[in-house]
Amino acid sequence: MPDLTPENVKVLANSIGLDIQETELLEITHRLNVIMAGVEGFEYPNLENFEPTPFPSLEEGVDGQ
Amino acid sequence: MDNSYLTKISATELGGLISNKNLSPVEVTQAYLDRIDQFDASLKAFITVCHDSAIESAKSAEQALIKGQGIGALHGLPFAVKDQFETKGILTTAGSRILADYIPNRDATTVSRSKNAGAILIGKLNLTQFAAGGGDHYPFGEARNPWNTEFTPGLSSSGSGIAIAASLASLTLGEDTGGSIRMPASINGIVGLRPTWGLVSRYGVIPFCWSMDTAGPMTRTVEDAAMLLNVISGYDPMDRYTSKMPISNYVAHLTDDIRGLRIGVLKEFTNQEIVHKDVLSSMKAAISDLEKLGASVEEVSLPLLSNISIVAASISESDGAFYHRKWLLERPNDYGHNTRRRLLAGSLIPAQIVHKAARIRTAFSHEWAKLHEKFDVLISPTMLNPAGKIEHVEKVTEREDAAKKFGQVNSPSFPAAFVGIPALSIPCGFSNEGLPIGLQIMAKRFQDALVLKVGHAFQTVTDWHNKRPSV
Repeated sequence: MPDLTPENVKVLANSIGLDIQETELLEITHRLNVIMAGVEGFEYPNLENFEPTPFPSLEEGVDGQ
Repeated sequence: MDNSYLTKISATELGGLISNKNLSPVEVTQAYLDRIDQFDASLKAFITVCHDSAIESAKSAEQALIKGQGIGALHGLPFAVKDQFETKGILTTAGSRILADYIPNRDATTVSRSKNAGAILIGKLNLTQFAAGGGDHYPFGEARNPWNTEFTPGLSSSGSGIAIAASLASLTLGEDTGGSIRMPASINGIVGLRPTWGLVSRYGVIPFCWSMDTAGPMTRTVEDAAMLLNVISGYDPMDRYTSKMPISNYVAHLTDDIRGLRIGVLKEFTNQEIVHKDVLSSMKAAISDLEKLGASVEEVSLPLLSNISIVAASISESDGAFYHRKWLLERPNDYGHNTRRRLLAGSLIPAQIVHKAARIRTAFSHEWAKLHEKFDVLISPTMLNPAGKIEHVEKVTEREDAAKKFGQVNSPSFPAAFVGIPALSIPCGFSNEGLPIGLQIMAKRFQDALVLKVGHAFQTVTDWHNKRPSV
């Protein structure tokens, strides 16, 4: 997946009503690219078989001693 | 009369002296307030100090003792909470100018439970902006490490860590999304417990990431943490994601017997290429102490750990950005620039990335559970390095800088946040510069009693937790 450019990021931000100042655009672009590349590059077999649960189970485990 | 010695003993000892009427809650509270007045101008642990209401509460606590009324487990103990916890009638800023005038009309459940157990609220503690904000100035005063004021006190429950280390409160509460209890605990040389997600109510705690935020104790000893956890844990109808499972008496489970316990040392966090040498030395000594206590200790590897921090961050950053959307639109300049840039980037993470991260979270939880087929607890350093010097990141111009500063570097604190398990940080040594180092102990979900037991056993044979900065 190619990195987003600052121009891409500006358009993306505008699309959800956010305004990014020119002085901050490059850093935000770097931050976003780092996160996206980190997740995109994460490899795990058959990931489609794991449900995207939003939080850990409340019932799992026992009260340890 | 100099009562400062009262502030140097553990909350457990102090509570015993108060309940036996050897000490008055008023003199104890006054001793802590005096220390705050004396030292907090330079440390900035507190945003608000509740002088008058604390003394009033202490007088009531004293009357209850005189009249022989029933007293709670925390009776007369001065406590303070991260300013992310709502407190009825008391300013609650979350460390941000955006909430500079916010006075809630309710107490967070953890605060009300502590008060109901007799604890005396003496103040609200400093934090990085909205429990994020690393690299920004603290809007209400620059929080400083009491071991060396040129160094950071750790993020984000900074004041909670400072207040315990510098004896400015007997007990404190912090909040941990990705390490915000454990990191300042490690850096300040105190005990910090991130409880199992769902064990402690978050009602009235200003959120950052709904599925990772966890409130927990930050204290002088593991015994103190267990005592506070007894009070704050358990189902809360105001937070429907608290578990209805019966809770333990965490103090009663504390013993020094960990013979036969199987402990795994996470290899990915003891790699000498990424871990500071003083941290490694302290870990080595800690492992030896645990072995002397009768535990079997063995290295274990989970290669996924090397890349998990950034995955966890993709979830927490996007969720945090959602919570802040209104203010980002209306008051963007009221955030510090690092906080604002972080939230703006979090706002733009694509749905496909967040969904993939959520699936990785489930897969990672399965992998983590497999480790527990062989090990009862897993340990690592709490942080890869001792505290760094206070630094304000003004601008990141290279992608590599962004990778280094914003999460591609591994953090031992993230796995517990990602899978919602209990994780305890306890002091286990000092760097050559005299800065504290922490040991992290993790177990399966709802085995909070077990991590406390291991931590307590460790503290029966070591005295790192008794060391205090010179303030």
